[in-house]
Amino acid sequence: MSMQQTAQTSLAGSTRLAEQQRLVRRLKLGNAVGTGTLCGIGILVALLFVGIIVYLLLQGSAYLFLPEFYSTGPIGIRPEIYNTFYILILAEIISLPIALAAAIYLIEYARQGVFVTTIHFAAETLAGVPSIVLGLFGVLAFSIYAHLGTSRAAGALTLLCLNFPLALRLFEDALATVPREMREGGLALGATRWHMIRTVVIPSALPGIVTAVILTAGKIIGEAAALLFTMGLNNPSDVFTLSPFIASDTLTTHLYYVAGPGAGSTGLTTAQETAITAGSATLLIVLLLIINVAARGLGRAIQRRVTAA
Amino acid sequence: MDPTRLNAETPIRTLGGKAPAEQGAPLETSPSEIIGDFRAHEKLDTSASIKIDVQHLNFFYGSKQALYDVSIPLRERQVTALIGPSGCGKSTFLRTLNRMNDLIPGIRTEGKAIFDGQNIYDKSMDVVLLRQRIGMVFQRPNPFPKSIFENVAYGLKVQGKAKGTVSAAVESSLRGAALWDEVKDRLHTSALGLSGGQQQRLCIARALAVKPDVLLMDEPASALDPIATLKIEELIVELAKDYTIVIVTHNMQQAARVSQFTGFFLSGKLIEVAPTIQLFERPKRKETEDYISGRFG
Repeated sequence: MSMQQTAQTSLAGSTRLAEQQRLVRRLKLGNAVGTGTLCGIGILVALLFVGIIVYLLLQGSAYLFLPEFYSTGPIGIRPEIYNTFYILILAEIISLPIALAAAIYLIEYARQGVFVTTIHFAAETLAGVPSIVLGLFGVLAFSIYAHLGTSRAAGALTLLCLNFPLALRLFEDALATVPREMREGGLALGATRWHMIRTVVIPSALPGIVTAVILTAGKIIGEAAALLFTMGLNNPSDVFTLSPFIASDTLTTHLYYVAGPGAGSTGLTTAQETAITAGSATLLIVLLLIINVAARGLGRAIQRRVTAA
Repeated sequence: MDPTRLNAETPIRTLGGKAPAEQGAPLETSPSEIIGDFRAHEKLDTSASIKIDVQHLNFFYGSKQALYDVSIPLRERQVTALIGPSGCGKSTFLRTLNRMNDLIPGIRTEGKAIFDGQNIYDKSMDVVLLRQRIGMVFQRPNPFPKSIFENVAYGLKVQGKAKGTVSAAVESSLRGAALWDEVKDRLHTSALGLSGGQQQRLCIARALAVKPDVLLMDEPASALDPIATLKIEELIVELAKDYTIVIVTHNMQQAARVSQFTGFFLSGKLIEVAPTIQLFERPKRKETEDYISGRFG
């Protein structure tokens, strides 16, 4: 090529290069804007959540250190704490085995088809029912028709309806993570299907199952509407027994009552009412935080022990 | 040929290849050279009794036929290798032998496989019992998330064996799988902490613990590195003294190294089955010769 041609080619080349550089700069700018916007939104949302939690904690944390708060006196919530854990355990005992059995059936035995799809659809619909509606259903079905009255049993059964869809999905996910080769390995050694599920699948799925138990516990502890009418807003004198046939209130329902309908009518001063509501709210937040951290931590610890990784 | 003594000085020939010094020689390693190093062919016994007699097997996934009129005798205490290109049906065939295909909905099996006087494919066959007598090792190691001991003991516990029997059997199986020395001090640690090759040998030990009559191996070394593969192959040759083994492999040289009989599958049909030396050196069918000489697959 002649010198002039070389010069022209290099000039054309450098123009093209400059054009490409401009294009890339524009693309990078668009990228930066997009990334920046998303990061900004993310940070904003995180700050919002953290802000809410910090605000609630600040409001009521002072009360958590008062010994009277944990007594049975006017601002004491010991009965409510007891009832919260009582209903938690009772509801979990009732709902988890049923949900686990259903999950095992759906994942291990049922053939994928109309039946399975219907069940999933029903569970998801149930999950979308507002908990106040489930509470009213519970009053009808358990308190009235089953003659359980306003009692812990009725509350636990209502929580079964509430808890079941979440527990089912979490258990199904836990079982589905077990790889197919593991099941085949068990069957190839001459185990029957149930033996294989019991000895291979469920132990493998244990981290997910434990996580499921803990997360459903969190949901139950925070439940108010389903228990309002089924379990009541009062505590009888024998509240600290194990009887499931007495009415009782939990942290959440008690908080609702004191802050709402019962405001000014329970013979408590405003300051006392604030103590109960703010303190209960903070205690609930703390419990939920502990539960969520425990869910992650315990799940991961079991996973590590099981896989020796 | 102890794989643990392989190092930089090990002549390549030991691995079935040509030493660099023989530069003018043809690049291909002839089958007899490969075979010669392992000497599996010396144990060939064409008169060995037939452990599983597969007769006219036709297998369907729904309406799609996957195996066409497969007939093959699997002889006792001999290693039968099944070779063929991907998707030719050799794994499907292997899985019919212990009825693992039953896990797939919509399959249909026609034909017979006579095992101890019973037809494996018969609907009345007790599949659980069958799988205790015909064991399987899978392509990817699949140890349970339990301890090494619990893994090997699994099949025995399924059968409800007493604790003392179980411990002894676990040790003997691990020895049989050439894994005992490596794990004897950590029997109760998780099996998932072992390397890939060790995990596969663990799966072999697990399958051996119940003393099966037949051991099915579905490409057992394909997920392993070459050293581990070598160990597995040596193990197979050793196990053939006591067990009937059927191994599916996509590696022809592996089939040549470890088996006494070889069957060549293509598109769901068993093209040819013969003693390994014969199949590799004097194949009767053109398709076999084309595959072996690398013209396809």
